[in-house]
Amino acid sequence: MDGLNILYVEDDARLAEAVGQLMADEGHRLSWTASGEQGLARAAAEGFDVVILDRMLPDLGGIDIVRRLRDAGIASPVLMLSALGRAENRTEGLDAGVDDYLAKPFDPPELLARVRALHRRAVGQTHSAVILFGDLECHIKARTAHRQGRHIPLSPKEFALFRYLIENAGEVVTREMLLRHVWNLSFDPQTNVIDVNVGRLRRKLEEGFDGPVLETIWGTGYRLVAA
Amino acid sequence: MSVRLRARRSSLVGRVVLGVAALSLAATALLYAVTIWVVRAESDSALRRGVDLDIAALGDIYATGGQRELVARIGDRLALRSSGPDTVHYLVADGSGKPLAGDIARWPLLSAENSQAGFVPLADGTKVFARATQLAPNLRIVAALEYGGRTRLLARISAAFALAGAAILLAALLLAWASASRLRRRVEAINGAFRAIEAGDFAREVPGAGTPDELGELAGHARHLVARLADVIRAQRDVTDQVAHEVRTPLMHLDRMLLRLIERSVDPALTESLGEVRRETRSVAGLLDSLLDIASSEARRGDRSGFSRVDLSALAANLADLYEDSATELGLAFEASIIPGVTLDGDSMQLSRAISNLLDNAFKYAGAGAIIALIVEPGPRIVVRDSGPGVSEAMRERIFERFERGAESPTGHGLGLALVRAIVRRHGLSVSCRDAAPGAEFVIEPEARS
Repeated sequence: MDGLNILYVEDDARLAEAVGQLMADEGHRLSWTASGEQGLARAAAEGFDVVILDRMLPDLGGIDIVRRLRDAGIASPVLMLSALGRAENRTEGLDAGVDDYLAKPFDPPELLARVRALHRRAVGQTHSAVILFGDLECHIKARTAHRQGRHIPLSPKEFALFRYLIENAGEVVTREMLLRHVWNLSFDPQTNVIDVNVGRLRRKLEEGFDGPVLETIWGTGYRLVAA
Repeated sequence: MSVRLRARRSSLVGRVVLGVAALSLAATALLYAVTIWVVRAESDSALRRGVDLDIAALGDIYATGGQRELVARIGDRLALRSSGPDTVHYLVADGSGKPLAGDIARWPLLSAENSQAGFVPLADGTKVFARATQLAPNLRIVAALEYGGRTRLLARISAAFALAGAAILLAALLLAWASASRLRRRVEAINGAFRAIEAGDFAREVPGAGTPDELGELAGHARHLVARLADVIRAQRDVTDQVAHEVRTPLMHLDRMLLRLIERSVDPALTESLGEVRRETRSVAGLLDSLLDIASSEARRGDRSGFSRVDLSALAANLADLYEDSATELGLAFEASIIPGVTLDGDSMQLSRAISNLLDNAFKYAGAGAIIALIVEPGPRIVVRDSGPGVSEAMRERIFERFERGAESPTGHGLGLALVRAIVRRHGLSVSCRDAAPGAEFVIEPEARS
């Protein structure tokens, strides 16, 4: 994937610098502004691939920025990166029109994964009826999964999980992303439920085949790899 | 204490109007009775006076002119009398009551010896007031006066009262209805503002606070209270957000520095320790969030703003699906028994979290080989049951307090069940821990109404 044009609205200069470095290392271009008003103006005018918003800004809060962007019909994907990380705060953000919500402190790979997933969803690479990745096939309408042309029986939730993974194929998806998109939960259960569910899907995708397709990225999440 | 206000089924308008109607009817009836009584008494004595004067005059005539003169004068009087409602009648009779003169055909039921007077009917049915008297041992006389005028007067008074009464009743009804409706509208406006607040809308003005009367004062108090409540809620939110921001921001910088140290570390033991420190800093953020979640849910107890219809069965099925395999992994048996279509007004994410926390709790404490059941029934009633070691009786209440942990496991902050309780209370539900013999069951059900 080519580097993305990202706008970052954040009043904490130290953090902005760190995020700028992180994005530059990944080949993205990050424009930073500390002012909410300026952030709103730039987001509205410059057509960034992804906008990252802090929530508590001195002049204009992130929630207001996204609301005004959406009111103005600007659909740029917005990720809110905020110290307010409770489920209630997330719901407020998502209700205001934010596409994703990440709490500080965050893991750098998590932020990168979210930004890439947001961009991918926005450019709509996943509207085709069949998604192919390596020797995997996902038939969206028929809700079936195939590997090397062989049908793999999946439960509805397993299919949803497989579909989300293949939509983000080649990229890391984190536990939080899976919880939100597959189970519609914006909090993290204490039990290792996600690992177990991914493990079950992995067995179905890998048993009887050569080579792994579902990789665990330790401490971050999972990635579908082309076999 | 879930304050679910009962829907109002009646209005003060109806009661006020009925009361005023009854009162004006009773007052009119009393006035009518008194008037009739006074008029009757007055006309009775006028009748008596008239008849008595006549009898006295006839007595004089007899005393001076004898029987012949008396008969002649009665004849004159009868000839000259005017016809009308108050016509006079006479009868002169001998000792046995046989008529000698006059226009009354038969002696009426009056005793001449006692000079009796009274209301009697004449032989032809005419109603009169009459007095009989004995003029001589063999001569008696009756003078009678019709009272048609009085009857007509009383009828007119009754008619007048009926008309006036109806007018008064109508006017009273209209007046009562108008003023009660005005009162109702003003009270309703205040109630409307309170209902809006119940639904979370604090921006709504309490109307009518400017009027200088009792209701104006009530509206003023209400407005004042609503403003204070809104301030308290805003302050609670602001403090919550500020605390989270002020704690999480330095934690984030700390986390980044640790991450940089981990990147530079070449010593695996140091890397391991630094990783441990990172997990601890994350855990502080998690602890803070849990505490703020509990505080927020408790502060919003009874506040139904942001609630929508939640399909509890679908929500529980989603969680059951998520937890099912973890059970197998942990050597537990997991059974979900969910009756479809159980719904509730609430916050779906919070309800998911409450059930998820109960499941986490069961998974953590039940131990290998145990059976864990998730049950959803109409009520709504949610049960998470495990066949593990159970919860001692002394702990069954305390387990929902903050920082109370099961003795067996040192992990977690001991806030999971406190959050469950805060969430279900916000929804007007209760959670209790019971003996499932063997094991423990946590039951979420509607709060008992006291």
